Amino acid sequence: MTFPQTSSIQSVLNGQEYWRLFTELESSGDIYETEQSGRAFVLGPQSDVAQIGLTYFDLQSPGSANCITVSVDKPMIGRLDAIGTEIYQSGDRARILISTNDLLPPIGFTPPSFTAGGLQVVKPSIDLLQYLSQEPTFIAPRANRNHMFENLPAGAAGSNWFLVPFYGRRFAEITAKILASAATAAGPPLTVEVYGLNFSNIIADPVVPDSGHQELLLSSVVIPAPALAAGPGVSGSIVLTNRAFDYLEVKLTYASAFPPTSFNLHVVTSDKI
Amino acid sequence: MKNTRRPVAPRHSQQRATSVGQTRPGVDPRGTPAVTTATDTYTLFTQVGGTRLLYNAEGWVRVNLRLETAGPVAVSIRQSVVPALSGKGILLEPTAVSFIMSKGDRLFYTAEAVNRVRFIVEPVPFLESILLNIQQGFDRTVNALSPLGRLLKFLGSAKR
Repeated sequence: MTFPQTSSIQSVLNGQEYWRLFTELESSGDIYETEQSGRAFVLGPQSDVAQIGLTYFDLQSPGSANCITVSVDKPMIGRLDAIGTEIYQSGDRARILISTNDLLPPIGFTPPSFTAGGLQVVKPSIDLLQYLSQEPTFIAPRANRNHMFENLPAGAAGSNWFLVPFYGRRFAEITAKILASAATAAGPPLTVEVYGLNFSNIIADPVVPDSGHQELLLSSVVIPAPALAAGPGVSGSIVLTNRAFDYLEVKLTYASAFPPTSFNLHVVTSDKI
Repeated sequence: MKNTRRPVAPRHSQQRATSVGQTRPGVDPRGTPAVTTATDTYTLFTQVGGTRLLYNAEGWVRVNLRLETAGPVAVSIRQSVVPALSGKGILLEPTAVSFIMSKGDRLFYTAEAVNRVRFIVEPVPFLESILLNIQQGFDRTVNALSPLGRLLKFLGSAKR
């Protein structure tokens, strides 16, 4: 999380045509602000979250505040005012507030399939473009996101979990590769499983973080280990299309201790099929 | 009868001549020395809230305003322009607005956020202002003398 956040006023003083908010999110409750009116609000190219909520001053709404959502397919084209001289009923100045409408993994979250081993959770980023001078003539789609986990060491038998954001995405390709082994015998196979995760706000037990909804997307894909003196290691990929999940969970399991070697995991997510 | 009254010598003020103030935006107009009206250009960064003096015309000028950000910024000749969205002034837009200010007019603005405003002021040449007044007076006189006025006007336009 960027603190303090970038200032939209500074963008005006610098003569910029837009202000960009691009930062990593810590929780679903992160709130940012802009004190500038904008002629358009568009999801930025590097946003992991798919929906951004804008709260603005509206005398006709309860609390003098109204909300609008900017999403992957629905930018906000039109003037949205930050009224510096008015205040919300809460007593705060009527600037535009920015937050995400997507649910993030709770702090301390572990996936339902997690038992023991390594867990890496990629935090999502928010990327919002506020156009100051004129509406954009072309709105670019989100860029593909590449998650590279390279030279992951293999130790004793076990599993590693990797959670990557998948908000609003429609395509993913997961590639796992065993790097060349220096051992004298072929190593054990590497098993890859992919799950889809959707988080919820249900608080059944306030002590235990909600584990969300998990669905197994693909059956285990076994990637055999390379043979001795083989060249590059064996790899396998899984393609996922047209599924809606908040996060993708990739589980790598190796049955017994690997020879001194390592493996790579590459996850590509895209809005396009 | 002989005039024995002695001529009175003219008295000049010892105080330096000052203008009402052809002011730059944001500059205190008081005590500004008299200056010749000239074309000038500014980028104004508006302050938030309240009524602010934008320009004080020393002579006949043409002002050109263009909003470079999202506003809202309102301008008015009248001092009561707050709040910006009340309709008491005109909202500035990304397309430029241009109008003539007469000598002594003041232009005020109010803004709800920090904005960039392109501000150009050009003097209306002396002869042009006279011609403007003459033409307006001529038109009014000629129109009052109709149908003779219409005939004269037609002859004048035909001659051109």
